[in-house]
Amino acid sequence: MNRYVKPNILHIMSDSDNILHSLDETLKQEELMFGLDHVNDDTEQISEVPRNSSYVGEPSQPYNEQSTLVGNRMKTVKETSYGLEDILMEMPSRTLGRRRGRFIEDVVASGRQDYNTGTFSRSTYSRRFGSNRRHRKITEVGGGDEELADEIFKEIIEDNKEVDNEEIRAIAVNMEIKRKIRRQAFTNRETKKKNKIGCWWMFRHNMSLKFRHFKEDTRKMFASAKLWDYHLKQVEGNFGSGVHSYFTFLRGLFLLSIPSFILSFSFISIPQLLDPPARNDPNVKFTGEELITGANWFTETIMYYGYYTNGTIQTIPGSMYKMPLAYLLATAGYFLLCLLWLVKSTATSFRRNYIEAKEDESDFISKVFCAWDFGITSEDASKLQHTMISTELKEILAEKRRHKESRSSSKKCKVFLYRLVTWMLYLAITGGCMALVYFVNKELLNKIKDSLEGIVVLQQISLALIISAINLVMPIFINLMTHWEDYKYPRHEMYIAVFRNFLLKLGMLAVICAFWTDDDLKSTQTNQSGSCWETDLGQEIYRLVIIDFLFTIIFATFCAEFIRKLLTKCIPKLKLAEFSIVNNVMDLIYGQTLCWIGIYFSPLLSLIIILKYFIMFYIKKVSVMQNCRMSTQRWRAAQSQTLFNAFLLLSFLLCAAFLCVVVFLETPSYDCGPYRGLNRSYDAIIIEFQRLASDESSYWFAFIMNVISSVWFLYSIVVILSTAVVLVRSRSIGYHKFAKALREQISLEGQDKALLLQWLRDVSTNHGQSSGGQHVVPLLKRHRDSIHSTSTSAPPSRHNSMSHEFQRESDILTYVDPQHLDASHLKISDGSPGKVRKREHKDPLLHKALVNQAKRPATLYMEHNAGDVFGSARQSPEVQNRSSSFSNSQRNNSPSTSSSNHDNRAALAMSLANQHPTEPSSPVYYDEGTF
Amino acid sequence: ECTYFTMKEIKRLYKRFMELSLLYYSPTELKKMSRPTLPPHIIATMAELKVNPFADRIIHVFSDDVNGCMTFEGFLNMFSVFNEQAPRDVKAFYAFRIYDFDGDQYLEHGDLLRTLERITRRSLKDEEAELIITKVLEEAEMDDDMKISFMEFEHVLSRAPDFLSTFHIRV
Repeated sequence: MNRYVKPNILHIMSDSDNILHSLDETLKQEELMFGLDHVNDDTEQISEVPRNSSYVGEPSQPYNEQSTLVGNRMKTVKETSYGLEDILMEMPSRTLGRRRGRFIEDVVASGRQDYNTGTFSRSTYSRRFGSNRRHRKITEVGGGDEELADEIFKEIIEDNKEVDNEEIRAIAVNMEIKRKIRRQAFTNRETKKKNKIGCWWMFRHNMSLKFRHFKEDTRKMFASAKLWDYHLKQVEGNFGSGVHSYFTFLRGLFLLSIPSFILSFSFISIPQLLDPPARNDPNVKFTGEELITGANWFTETIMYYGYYTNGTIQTIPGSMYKMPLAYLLATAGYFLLCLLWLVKSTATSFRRNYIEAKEDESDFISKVFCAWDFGITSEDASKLQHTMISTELKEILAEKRRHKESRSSSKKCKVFLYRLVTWMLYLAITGGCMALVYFVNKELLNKIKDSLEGIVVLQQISLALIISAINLVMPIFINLMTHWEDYKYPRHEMYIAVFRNFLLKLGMLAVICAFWTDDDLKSTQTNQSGSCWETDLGQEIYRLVIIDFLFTIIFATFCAEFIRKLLTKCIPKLKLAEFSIVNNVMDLIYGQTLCWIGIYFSPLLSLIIILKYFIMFYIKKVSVMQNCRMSTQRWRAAQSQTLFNAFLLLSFLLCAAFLCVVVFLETPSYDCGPYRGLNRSYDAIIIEFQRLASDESSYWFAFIMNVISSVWFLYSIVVILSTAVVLVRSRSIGYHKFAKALREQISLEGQDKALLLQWLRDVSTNHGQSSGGQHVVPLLKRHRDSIHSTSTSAPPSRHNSMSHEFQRESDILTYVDPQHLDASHLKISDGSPGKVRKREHKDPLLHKALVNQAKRPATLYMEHNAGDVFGSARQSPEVQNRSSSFSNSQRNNSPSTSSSNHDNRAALAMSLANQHPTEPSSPVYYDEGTF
Repeated sequence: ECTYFTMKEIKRLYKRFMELSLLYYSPTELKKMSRPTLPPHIIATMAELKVNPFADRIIHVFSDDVNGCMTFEGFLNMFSVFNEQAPRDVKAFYAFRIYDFDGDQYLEHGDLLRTLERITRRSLKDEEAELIITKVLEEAEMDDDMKISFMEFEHVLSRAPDFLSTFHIRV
């Protein structure tokens, strides 16, 4: 049963209230139009459809009823030339607001602006229900702020009894009203406090209040500590949000490296400084070249892994500080911190830019409405922006035209060949670079071994120089290559170029890492005393960081941008350099990757990185402001930001994997570092645990550790996690289906309306405008009254009764009287059977309904309860709802279609309409837990 | 508390507002007034709005009275909406009102044409503009009435990822 019920209830939920609403609204407007009946109440809640929220996942919390708020000024609208068509045109599509599947209704009461007073003649009032937050929008009503504030306040109170700042902020009204609401909220809170409510509830309430305050305070604290805000604004004002995103990325990395530096410095370096071990070779002096090479004097400092001891530090009497443990745990903590930050930022940007926002290639909407960058403040930038937008629009138009003439097969073949060749070329280049790095590395090592005494600086840094040079030149080459491949969209081109760059850089790093962790090398090294591969690797990374930094400053920034600027003065043809966001961001990612690899081997690398970022920010900023011009292509900041985050996360995971290998599998150096003498670094922790387990005083600790490390515990955790994943996954699939169904619903609504309009036009052209209108109103009114009598007969107090009511409502609405359907059709087509056929075929759904009805002549009453009458469970409620809506609308038209004996027909229709509520209804309780 | 700003930012904004008021009022006048209001052309001299093609619309939408004069509260509200932290809905609501030139709660052909003219400075040919407008209407249209209601607008914007990053003014 559930299989059928699920989609059914969905459709009923949406359909029934739509129809109810459209009916009521039409009714309302018709009443105004024909002046037969005046609406007396100022703000009347026209309809209330009690409903439950069981489908969307919060079964216990009933939704409030939706309310249509028609401004009291509606009745003052002077109606002169409204036709039925106008009314239908004015009917908004009310299903649109439900894009998250949760919002119940946005009701817009439509009307006309009163130009005489210059204020709005009606209030646009739309309400949405989110899971924890609602947004309200009010088009300001000319006067009566007090009333409005009252109204909104009441609404909020009804909904969740709690008015917080977040809620108030999200209301789109002006400040005065907000303040009033807020004041009301606080007085309300105070009165509420006086009432004695449950102790536990009070406690919970207070706690949540405090927690919220705390959250807000911390948020404010962080916000007030915004770094470089002024510079960022300057950059954004002149270069738009694209370049700005580069700088925010840089700032994010900078902020991330500060806590990591504090962590490693305070837990690893400071304890070691308190108890410095003796230097092996005290004769080495600091000369200055170490700043670049990172060797010699630096080798025996806290800079590198090899310096740290494997003992305990007992400077402060009575305390034991185990260096190996601290070293490992601090590094692990650093990686955990990075992981959290990365996952969080990636997930938020992914959600915001990909999941919530679906994106089409040819989205004119975003090109028009989101084109203007509101953050721009400089004159030149705005001029550029104007031309940029217009060229972009033109390009898309041209592309659309080009799109029609598809590429010929020979051209396709050519493009494919191009791509094949470039990929081969690229792979060859990457392989070549990696091989080069490997051989240079090996050669260097041999040389160092040969001449231990006289190592020249240049030799030491030659590897770093080579890699940095490759990094500098290759991206340009790769970009050219990718450009040559002729991709359809520039964005794809960018993605592929970025991917290739990324792979190349990572490949070279991987070669270095593999080289130093190679077993042969280590076996040869262990024979030598005083050598330490971890320190060597750390030095290599250090050199890479420094050289890379210098290269970016000297070549990429100074030469490419500053020199070019000077050249433009001589050669007027040459334009200023564009700031290449892609390359710069890739450089940042590369630098951060280096940092992650190196942090284990040289704990103070984060300090270097911090300094590097700090200097980089200012240099880049000055360079951008002075030497660059704005890019001529629009930069899709939102999407590429997610991409860069993803790349960063990927490289982070790779680094973490590499370090895991080092810690868990590789043998540390024999006579240096905190893990000397152990087979694996990880053994330090195991030994510690074993000691604790054997220790009597820490029995409980050992017991807990035993439990945690036992197989069963891990097994159950895995089981729980996988169950959770399955649950969440199935839920997300459910939501997807729901969203899809709703989207279909939207398009159906649109078609619905279009069809109704079409019919109306047909009718009016066939029969001319007749005097029928009066009869519609009493008829509809009666129908409305009948609905109201049913819905208000039992006050919706509890969940069950609400769903019960809801069922009854849908019963009424989905009920189709076969006779009536026939009659209305006969009426509209004026009795000729041939015409009936024609009409039926116009609307396939209605046709289906009629056919089905012919099969089962008795009644169509709530057939979807059984679920098997119509082959597809989805269609049945649609058919019924739609047919009922048609029948309703037909009833509107029926009198106007025939001028001769419409009285009889109206009487017939009236009697039919009266029948509806008196039909015996057998409400079915759906099992809500299954949704 | 009713905005997305911190105390510091509000103070900064207040300072800017006062600087603007000094352009219009003399200091003695200013002292007498408890709540100074500024006419639109003064507000429009701000760097943030000066180059914005929709500056007059923005001021109109956030202004407190018919003539487009603005108090500090309206001023604050304006920047609050353009803040990063303002949710998509609120931004969409005001964006709709900014683009709705004739104020009839629908974006129609005329509104779109004026929007296009403003963002491209009339560098498009007529038929190009027409084509774009029809495309936009087609994309946003749900109920075939050839105008975009707020619901449709919001729905469409929810699919546009760039909206949040562009509809944003830093203070």
